[in-house]
Amino acid sequence: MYKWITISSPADYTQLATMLSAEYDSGKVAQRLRAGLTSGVAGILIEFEYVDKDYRSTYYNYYAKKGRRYRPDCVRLHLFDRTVSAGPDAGSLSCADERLSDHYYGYLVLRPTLQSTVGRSLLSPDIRQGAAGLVMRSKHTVHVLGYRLEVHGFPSMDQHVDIAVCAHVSCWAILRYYSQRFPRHAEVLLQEVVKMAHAFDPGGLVPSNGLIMAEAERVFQAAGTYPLVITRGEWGSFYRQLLAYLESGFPLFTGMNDIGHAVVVIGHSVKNPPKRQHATDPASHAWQLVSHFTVVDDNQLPYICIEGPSANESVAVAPVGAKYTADSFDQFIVALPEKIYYSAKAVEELVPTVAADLLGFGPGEHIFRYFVTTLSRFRQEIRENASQYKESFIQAIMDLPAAQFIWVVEFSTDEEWESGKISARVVIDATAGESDPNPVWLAHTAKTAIVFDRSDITHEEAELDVGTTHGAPLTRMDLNLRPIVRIP
Amino acid sequence: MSDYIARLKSRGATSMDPAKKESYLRAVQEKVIPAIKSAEEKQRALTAEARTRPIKRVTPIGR
Repeated sequence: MYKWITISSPADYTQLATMLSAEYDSGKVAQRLRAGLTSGVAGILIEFEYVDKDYRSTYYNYYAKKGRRYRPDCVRLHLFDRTVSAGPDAGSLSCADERLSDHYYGYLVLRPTLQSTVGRSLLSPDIRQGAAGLVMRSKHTVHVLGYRLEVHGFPSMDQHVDIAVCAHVSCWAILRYYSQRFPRHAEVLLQEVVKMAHAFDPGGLVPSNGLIMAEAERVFQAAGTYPLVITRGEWGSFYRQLLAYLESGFPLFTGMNDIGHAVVVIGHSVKNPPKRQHATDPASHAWQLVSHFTVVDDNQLPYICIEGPSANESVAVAPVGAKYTADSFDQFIVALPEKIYYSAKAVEELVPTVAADLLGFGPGEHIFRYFVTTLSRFRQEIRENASQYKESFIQAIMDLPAAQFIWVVEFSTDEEWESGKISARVVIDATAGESDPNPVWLAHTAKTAIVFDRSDITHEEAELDVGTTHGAPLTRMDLNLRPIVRIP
Repeated sequence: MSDYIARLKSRGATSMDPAKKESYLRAVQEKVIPAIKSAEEKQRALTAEARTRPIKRVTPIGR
């Protein structure tokens, strides 16, 4: 059965409370949607008796064993824009251009669990109140009323409280993103995440006790990824590494010891560097220019913006109640693919030497950022910006004997940072070892490039011209995160 | 000379200043590699201690 609600004003969300039974806690859900979504959402299709695989996994293992009776099925709310309308009895949908997917903002599953009822959800960040900047998204296909719809977003759900807490849900969200984004990863249901965290089958009260970081790490190992745990020591280095892995497109399981909480960091927004007082002042670090991180927190609807890190530990802001900033982040897990052996920390140590000896930059002259990508994606970007380069340089990139994964380091002056341009770029072998005598494949400015043949013990190299317009800044690469286009 | 470098040079590429190359390779060997090893060592110690930190924030009921 289906029902349609037209949302002309925020008050219309209250119709949910009358259409859904109390076990879905629909009054609270309506409040959250009213406060959390933009007015871009103008219609909701309610799909009753929806069989949700993640809820069912917990139903079979938990809810069916309880004295109180729980329904085995859920309700799903599909969100649309104002161009979509429903036919009689909400049995069909229509829009003027007949491209329903273009007017679809995703769905929320409501579980019949009386509290914390928002289950597996996939919302577009474009209709989330307050969301801004760049985020990771994966494509999700949805079948409803015989239509095949697509939505791009990041998976989220409320914690169940009793059988899964924030740590389980954060692991689940990352693994669901991976299974949608990368075909080699299998889908993992919520109850399976709960089991993967332990060497034994965790029943009874065990899941409600939460996880320790090592157990979250174990979940990612069991799911076939290669997790790396980074703990905050030196303040700047921690956020530099966090930003590097985030810009590489890896959602980060992030722990906050002061509030015992875990969230998934999936995006950010950066600001312009402050004006330097003296010409000799060093450039800002990219992490210092993060105005906010976008996180998926199982206590709220997804895509909340939290303030970026303070300049140093001595001025760090303590959390107030449920409100925290990036200053509370003190550990993260990045679930890497197997073939990344050169860490963000290694890149951080290498960059000053490369900047000085290969690019001729003085210390502190440039803001630099770095991220992992694939060689094929890098080549695609060079090809798409081919007008910036000489044909011989493009051919050198296409022929470059490199690995599947590479680190890309980009250097910008303050002015270039503000306009999305760069002075230079370095390509590093992400499969290199820590002791590799030369992990660099390519270092280039807008004028010249140095290319190394790393298969040769003498590190043979060649220097070649790069650009057709000498000296013009190059375009910055944003390969792994996508901008939120807010629909008011 | 490798085929790749030979191809680049046949298209007009030149060799890098040998002194610059030597300086770079020496810096990687003498400064970068020891710094990476030291940093990774510190990170392992920090993480070993932090692996047992509990993560459990229960959603307040009635939120």
